[in-house]
Amino acid sequence: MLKVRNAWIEADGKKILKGVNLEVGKGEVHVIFGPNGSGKSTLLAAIMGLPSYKITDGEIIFKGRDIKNEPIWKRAKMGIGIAFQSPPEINLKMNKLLENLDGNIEKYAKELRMEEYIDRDINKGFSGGERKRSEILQIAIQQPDLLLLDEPESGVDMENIYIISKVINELLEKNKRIVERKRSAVIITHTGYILDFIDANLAHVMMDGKIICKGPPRDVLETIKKYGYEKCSACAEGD
Amino acid sequence: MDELKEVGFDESMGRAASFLVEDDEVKRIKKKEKIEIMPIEDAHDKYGKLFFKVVDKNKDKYTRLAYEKGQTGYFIRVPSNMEIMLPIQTAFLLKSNNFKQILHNVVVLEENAKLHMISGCTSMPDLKGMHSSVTEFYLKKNSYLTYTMIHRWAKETEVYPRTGAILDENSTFVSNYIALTPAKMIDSYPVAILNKNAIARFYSILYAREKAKFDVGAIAKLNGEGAKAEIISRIISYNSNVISRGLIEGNANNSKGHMECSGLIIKNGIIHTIPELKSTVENVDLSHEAAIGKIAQEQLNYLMARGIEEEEAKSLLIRGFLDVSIKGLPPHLNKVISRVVDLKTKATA
Repeated sequence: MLKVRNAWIEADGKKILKGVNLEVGKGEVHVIFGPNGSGKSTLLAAIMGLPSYKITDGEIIFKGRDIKNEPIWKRAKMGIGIAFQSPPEINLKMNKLLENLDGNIEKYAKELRMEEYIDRDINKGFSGGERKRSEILQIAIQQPDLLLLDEPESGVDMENIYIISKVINELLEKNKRIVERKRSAVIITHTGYILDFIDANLAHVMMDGKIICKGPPRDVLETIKKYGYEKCSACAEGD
Repeated sequence: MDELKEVGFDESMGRAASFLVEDDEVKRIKKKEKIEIMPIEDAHDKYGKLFFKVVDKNKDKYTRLAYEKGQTGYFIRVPSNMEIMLPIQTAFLLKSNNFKQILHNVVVLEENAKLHMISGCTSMPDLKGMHSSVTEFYLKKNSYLTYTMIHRWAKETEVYPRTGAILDENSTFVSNYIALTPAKMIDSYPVAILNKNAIARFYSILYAREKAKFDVGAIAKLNGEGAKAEIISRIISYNSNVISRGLIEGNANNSKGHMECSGLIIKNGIIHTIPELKSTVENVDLSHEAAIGKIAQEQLNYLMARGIEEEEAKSLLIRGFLDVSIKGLPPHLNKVISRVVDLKTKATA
């Protein structure tokens, strides 16, 4: 589904990603851990194609095609969808945006308890939890093949995490056998809390613009909790 | 006729009354309710002493023209205690090339009356011409008027509306001005005079493009205690020149006024906002805020990340920027405005 090969990414002339490799197969869910400023969000932004992130070296292959020169909307049309960590407020009724996405607005608005919000301006006066639900609503209607979720659980209470993870699991066809699942996801998480709700196949640890280790999500999380990120870098040096 | 429907004049919709002028000829007067509606020339004998009380006939050459030659226009009077639920629709259509429309309109709401008006001004495509008008509003005690004016001009039309309103105690005037097509010149600066506890709200939704020139705004004089005014505008200037004026005068204690202007500049557009606050007594609360900018890249990226192409994303943002829900306006009239905004901004970014 997705292959990021030796990606070097700059923003405002500053090197942020320094040779990242990431491979996500069909039906797989990967999580990325890492301290603030390590480059996690930059990686998702670069995969999505946000124009302020420049890829200076390496490749981003999606469904077998190098997409690094494709505009953002084309990547979305090819099947990449992103739930932003801090989406902007926009003077535009959410419905006017959703109508363009060609999906089942009613079903997901109901499941995410967003029926009241779709006649309102996007994110205006929304609480943290409402913003996350709004992001998941848009991505659910979009039905992408690859979901990029940037900290879907941050600043969200228990009830909202439950609501959004139910829809994410449905999108990821968690009720089907592994071989039948068609969608993949890359989830950034700070706390690992989302792992209580969504099963992931593999975890990566990102530090200073590089992925320095990977392993079973629970084990990686336990290690970080016990020893902190510093041990992760020590571990990487030991490799 | 699409020209009329696009400014809200639609005889298939529920309306309390209709008044249609083509060039200088009254084409249609229809009414269902017990309101007085007639051509202005027929109202001279009975109500003529009211005329030009709120707009000075000597203010400029256009008010002079209306005074001397303004024989076309409407007179509308709602008797006391009458609430009209359905809107009255009026429309002025410029039909002949190089025609100069000179109009005079008067609206009177007696005590406790309530009325919604939708007033369209439009021209056939590609005409040259001029539309000048004097419109006077007399709102008696406790009356309530919403007046939604939709302009849809051709590129070569020049437009000079002169509008005045006197608001007696506890009356409310909601004035909405929507102009989304180019015009050679739109020059309009309505004035409202507010007595005790009266409320005036002016909303403008403007999309100037194709080298249009708009010089528009509103004046509110808070002459009575507890009077309140709000002047709010959303302006897009796309290769055009817009001057947005506003003046709120606090002349009585406990009066309150707020002005707000948001502007969006696209490709060589100019927006010049001139907000003025003036206070002649101590106890007033007046404020203004203004922000002008371009389409935010972050918002554009956000829409494109949903698979919307750049041009369509820009057009959505323009539509969203102009799609303002107006306080005090019945939902079906807010819908008329939304529809006009939708229609006139689709794929135009």
